[in-house]
Amino acid sequence: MMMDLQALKQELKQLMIEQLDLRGKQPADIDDEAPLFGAGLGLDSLDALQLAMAVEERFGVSVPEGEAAREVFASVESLANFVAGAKSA
Amino acid sequence: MKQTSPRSELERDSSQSAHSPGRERVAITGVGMVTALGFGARPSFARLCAGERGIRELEGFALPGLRSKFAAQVPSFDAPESYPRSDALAWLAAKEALAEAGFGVGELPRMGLSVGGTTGSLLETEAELKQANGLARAQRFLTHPLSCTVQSLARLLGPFAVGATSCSACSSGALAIVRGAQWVASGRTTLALVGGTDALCHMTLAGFGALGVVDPNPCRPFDVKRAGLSLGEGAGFMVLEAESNARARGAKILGWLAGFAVGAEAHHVTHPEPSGRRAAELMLSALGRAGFSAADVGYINAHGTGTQANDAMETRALEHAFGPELQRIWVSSSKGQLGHTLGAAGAIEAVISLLALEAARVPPSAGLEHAEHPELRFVRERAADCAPGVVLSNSFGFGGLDAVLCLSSDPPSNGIERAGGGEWLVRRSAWVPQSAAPGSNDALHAGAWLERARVLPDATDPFEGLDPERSRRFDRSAAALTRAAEQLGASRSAAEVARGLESEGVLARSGPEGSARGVLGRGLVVGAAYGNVERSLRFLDRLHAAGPKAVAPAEFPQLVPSASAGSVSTYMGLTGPVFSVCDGIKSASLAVESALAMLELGLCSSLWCGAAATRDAVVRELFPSVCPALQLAEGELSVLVELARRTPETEPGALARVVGHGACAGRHDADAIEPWAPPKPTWPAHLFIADLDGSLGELVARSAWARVSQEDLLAGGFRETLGIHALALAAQAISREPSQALILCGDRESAYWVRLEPL
Repeated sequence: MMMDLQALKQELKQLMIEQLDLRGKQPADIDDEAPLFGAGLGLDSLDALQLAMAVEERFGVSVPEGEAAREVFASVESLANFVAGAKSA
Repeated sequence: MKQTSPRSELERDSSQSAHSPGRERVAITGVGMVTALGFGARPSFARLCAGERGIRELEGFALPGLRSKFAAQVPSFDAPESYPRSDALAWLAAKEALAEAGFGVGELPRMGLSVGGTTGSLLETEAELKQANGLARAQRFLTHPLSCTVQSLARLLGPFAVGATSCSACSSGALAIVRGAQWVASGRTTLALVGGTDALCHMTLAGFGALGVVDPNPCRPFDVKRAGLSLGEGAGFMVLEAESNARARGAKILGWLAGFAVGAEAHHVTHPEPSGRRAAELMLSALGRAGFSAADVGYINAHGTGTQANDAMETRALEHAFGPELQRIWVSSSKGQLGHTLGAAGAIEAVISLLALEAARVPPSAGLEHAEHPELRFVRERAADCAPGVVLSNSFGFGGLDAVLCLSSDPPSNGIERAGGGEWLVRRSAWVPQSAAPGSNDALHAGAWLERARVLPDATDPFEGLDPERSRRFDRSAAALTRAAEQLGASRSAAEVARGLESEGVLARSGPEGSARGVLGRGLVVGAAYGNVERSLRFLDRLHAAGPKAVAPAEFPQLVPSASAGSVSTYMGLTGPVFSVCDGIKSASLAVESALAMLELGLCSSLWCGAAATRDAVVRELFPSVCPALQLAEGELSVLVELARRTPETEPGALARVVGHGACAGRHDADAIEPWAPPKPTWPAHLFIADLDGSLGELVARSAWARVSQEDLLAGGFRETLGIHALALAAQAISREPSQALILCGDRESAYWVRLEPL
């Protein structure tokens, strides 16, 4: 199944706002390519765990741990590509 | 009946600032322990020394997909019927300690009971949640708060003169020991039974796993290949006794609680502050308080959970604090054999530390093959023969809530250092009232009902005005308390806290001078009968429905009853003693008591004491059936009061001074001859009273306070904030018009009073 990448990114941003309690933020506030962790959105490792769990549950994909996870979660763009790739595999 | 001298001493004492002169040293006259290595403190210690590991494959928990199948479970035993497991574990350890100290069950002299824990009887509540549908199944959350262990032990072993429950996450057991020590050192009781307990449960097994901090294999503290912690369960208890009493009755003194330090890191909800500076400072402070220095320490029982973060931080802390002495000082973590026993850990490990002194053997650090820092002198597979003389026991909890205990074989040169006769001021108060919001009374299924509750419009939003990034995981209580805190002082970021610690340059100091000049951060004590019930229910529902892989990792650290205290302290940058007092409906009143205790111990020179009555939807729905006598208010309230030692700096703007405080005689007080009589009011006076069962009203009616204007705090309906609300109202009344105030909160089992006068 081909996933509409734009729609997927939107859904991911919405998921992040809900799951990570990003109060007051809208999907439009989150840049596709901005770093999620450290600088940028300023998420921490606890958020990474929470987001991984939420992504696995929502999309039925298996999210890697450790170093591989860093690349996947670098930005909304990389996350969306990962999910789309995993779903069509 | 003639008034006998104990009563009149109490009255005289209350006219000073409730310190008795002199420094009573705190002896340990009994210990008890139950862990995965079995029953009986000394047989278990022998097995610990032999290197036996109690971490085995988990039994009795159907949790497919758990990160680790290993845990350290207590072997089966005959528990007193219908008591929760955590209380039964506590009972085993507590009665062993009492027996060793020479006290028969039910014939105890005047003795306090101080218990630390994190999950309480959550194991049994979890089982009940699975039984039926609807919100009623969650009732057990409310009928079994953390304070149940004190109630159970009072029934099984007591009565006790005073009971208290403390929570500071993984350092709760150590904190409970400190609170009990304060009673003994101040003369409030000559004896205290102190300790901690925690039974394994689904929530903690799943929660720690979801955080990714659990080793899939038995843990390996301090090993270069360590991969996380192993959970454990158990209980540890000690009898603390005033030296004069122990000597007078010829008790065998096993060792001494020579010193301690309690403080917070103000860094992150789960990550320790990596430099280890705060932890190092606390270790030196505990030593200094006892009159010891680094050169006196023979052994350190580390917190040593086996996680990457803790062991790295703790190693740095040890290096900061002890430097070259580390070549000589033995170090080990007992968690490689007993697992991380959470609320019990600080107490179990205190017992182990005492036994190391007694046996002149230091137990090994099991699971350690290749130390990441081989420059530390780890005890390897078997115990080492060593008479350590002075031992430190570390406990570092979620939210950076830390405690260090210092035990010694020989009596320390000082008593527990007290802030010698200082006066305490109520400096300021802050509150955040929220107006009522419409509630839902439909008895729907819990899940759907919670969803509806979340979309109810808020009249005011406690999160408004808070930094959204730093308050992100807060619940309403934490947000409301932080709003109140911001009215009292400016918040400090983690970076600012770190810079502050560095510039204050404490680490070079140790010894008695060090403790006198040590950095005393501001403390925070929160009265919180429960953790967040709504979130706990949601977490457990997900666990039950979808298994361990589906639970929310970020939610888990917010469920422990100390979570709001930890959250506020991190946001505001508070590094003094930070913890929750979890004594059911008396939590707020006893929060005031323990706040004053922390000040009297000199563990901080200023402290915020607070509680929040917020609209937890589940509590609001269930509470009428659990406690029909009390009306819950519409709306919410959070109150915070600042207490500080009187100095020229703290006097300006202070509202009132504390001229006395203490417990009223109650049913648990074996020495009660007549009911406590409050000292006569002399000026215009106000009485602030929360009389939970009418017995306080009887006391007052027979005294000169009967004619004084009264404010009945129960009428407001904010049961969660009673004692603190009273303190704030009373202090404000005095600042408006010079007068005297008496605050009375409690019931015939236990009640607490505070007297205030103008400066």
